[in-house]
Amino acid sequence: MRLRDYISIGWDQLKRRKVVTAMCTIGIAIGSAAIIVALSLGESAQQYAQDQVNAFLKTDEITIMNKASNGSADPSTEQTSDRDVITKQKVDIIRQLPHVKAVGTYKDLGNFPFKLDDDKEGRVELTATNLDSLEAFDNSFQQGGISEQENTIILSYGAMMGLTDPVSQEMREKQLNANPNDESLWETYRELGKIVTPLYQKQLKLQVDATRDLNNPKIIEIPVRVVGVLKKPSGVSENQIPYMKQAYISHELAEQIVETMKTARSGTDLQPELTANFSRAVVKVDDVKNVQGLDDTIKKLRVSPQNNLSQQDRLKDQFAIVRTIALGVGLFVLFIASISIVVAMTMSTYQRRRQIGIMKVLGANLAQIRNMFIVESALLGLIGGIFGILFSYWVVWGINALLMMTDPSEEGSIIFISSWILGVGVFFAVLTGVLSGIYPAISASRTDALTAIKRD
Amino acid sequence: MLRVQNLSHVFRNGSEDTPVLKEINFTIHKGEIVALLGSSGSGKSTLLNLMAGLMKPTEGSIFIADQAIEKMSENKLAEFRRTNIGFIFQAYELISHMTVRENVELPLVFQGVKRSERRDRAMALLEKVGLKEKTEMFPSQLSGGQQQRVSIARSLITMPSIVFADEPTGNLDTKTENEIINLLIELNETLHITFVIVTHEQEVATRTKRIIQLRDGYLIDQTVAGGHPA
Repeated sequence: MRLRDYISIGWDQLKRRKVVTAMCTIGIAIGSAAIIVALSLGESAQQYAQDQVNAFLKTDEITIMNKASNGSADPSTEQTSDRDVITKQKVDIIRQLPHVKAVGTYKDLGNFPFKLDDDKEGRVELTATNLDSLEAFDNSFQQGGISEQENTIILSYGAMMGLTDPVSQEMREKQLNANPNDESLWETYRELGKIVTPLYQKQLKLQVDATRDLNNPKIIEIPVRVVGVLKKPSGVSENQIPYMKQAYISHELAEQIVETMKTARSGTDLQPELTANFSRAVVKVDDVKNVQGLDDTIKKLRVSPQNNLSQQDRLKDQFAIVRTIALGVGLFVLFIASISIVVAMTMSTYQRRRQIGIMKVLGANLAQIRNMFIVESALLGLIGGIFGILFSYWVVWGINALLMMTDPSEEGSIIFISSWILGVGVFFAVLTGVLSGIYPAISASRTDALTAIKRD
Repeated sequence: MLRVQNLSHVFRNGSEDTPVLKEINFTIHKGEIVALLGSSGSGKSTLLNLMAGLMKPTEGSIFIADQAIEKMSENKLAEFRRTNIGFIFQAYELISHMTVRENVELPLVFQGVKRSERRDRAMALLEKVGLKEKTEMFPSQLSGGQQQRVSIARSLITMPSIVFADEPTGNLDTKTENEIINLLIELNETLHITFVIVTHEQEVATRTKRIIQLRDGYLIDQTVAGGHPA
């Protein structure tokens, strides 16, 4: 007997018993959807958590600290031992390695006050880097971008917040000192800190203290132009952003600042705190799965790379447990749904005893009768699985809508359904159909032909 | 073609045994059309069921095409029936949700014959039994005589060695009964297929070429009948 004939006979039976077919389909669809939704929730939650971990722990990055960053060694000069020293040559080699998306070299210059032409003041954590790598490291521009001009600076969104003039600042500090327990004053202070001063294309003057003498400071102003403002980082609360005051300049500008300070401090006991080389290099890898291999390769360059893969592995273990539990819940629902198929198919066996008897007299053997019922229940499972997919998309759409209502800052869908999960859902639906059909199928095949066709 | 040898059968009901067939012996040759005549309770239907392999005899043997069917397993018997035996029921036993053509094709489905070939063979047989115009109708749309013609076409679709007809005219009026018997005799003559017709009606039996008569489980007579169309 051909598969097509089994399917044709099975389909015909399902069409004839529309109500029973619909009830069984609903049962399987719910079970199948439960599996799909449960697995999708598990996977989406893992992905979401992984994205969050990537955002904070940067698991797709390898950090290489430079031993020479404190001025103890100068990477630009030849050395007898270059272990743990990042030289320009090493950075160039790393850039050429497979799976490397970008290499960023950083020098943290410290906290710098700055002034605007209208006397407003602010502070930034100044970092020198190769600015063209900024976007590769998950930064995107809200305004402007990289510029060929000299003496330019790129600000984080938070760096434009809470700028104030010295008189107002002094007045506020006095008020706070006078009423340190006045919560409304603190609240006003925090709200002022969130006020944004547009700085794009403005000139600001970085304040460098050449003497470090509080009584007789010698401030050198270094004018820079804001050529780019970065977007607010994702996954960070609005309250935290005013405290994230980052500013990026090129290594060339950093060298000029260092030179300026050297000149200003010459003849004093003060050593310049800054050196021209960078304190660390960060490698952006194309995929987290390539991080460990690349890490091992980089080690051969006599440096000590670090990554956060161990954190991610721990997270994976935790979500594997969540996913197993979710699968268990789905399977339980499907098991309950399978009872409906067993009942429906067993009922069908009794209703069709005469037909089975005729088929046996006409030459159908045990296996053929059995297979007819199994194919029929497998079809029932398949239909249930297909409806389960539709049902699960509807549920996931609802969950996403609910999540977006509770957190409007979330962009796109948090819960997603991978194609492999759809396959698993349909597989379990068909499997449920087949397993549920086995008992009725065996029962049908054992029907005695003579008894079945006998008329009273 | 068909050889029944020392056949006895007993129905067991708890500790009580009821003998229904006793020491039956006869042979039916290839291409014969034979009536198995007997009144109600004579054992003719039991004999038919035993010959069709739907029951196992208590004693004795049944040979069809030189194969002892009582020794076959259920699966083997199903396969044997599929290729060697056709069956015509008193109440037609057509599957109500299948069309006339699909009903006729059904035995070929179990043989795994291709759809197009099944269709061609079914159409040819339906034409032969005079139902060319009714192929896509459902059994409920046909008269009793037409349904029995479908049943006859279905029994012949596999070109079996032997066809057993269990009271094929039992549910029909006299005119239709004649038509059906005429059709069976015509098919026997044209296709040379062996027919065994179980009946309790003398008029039907006399239309065949030979009558095997049963009474109270015993074979009491084998006579040559007319075998000519009325």
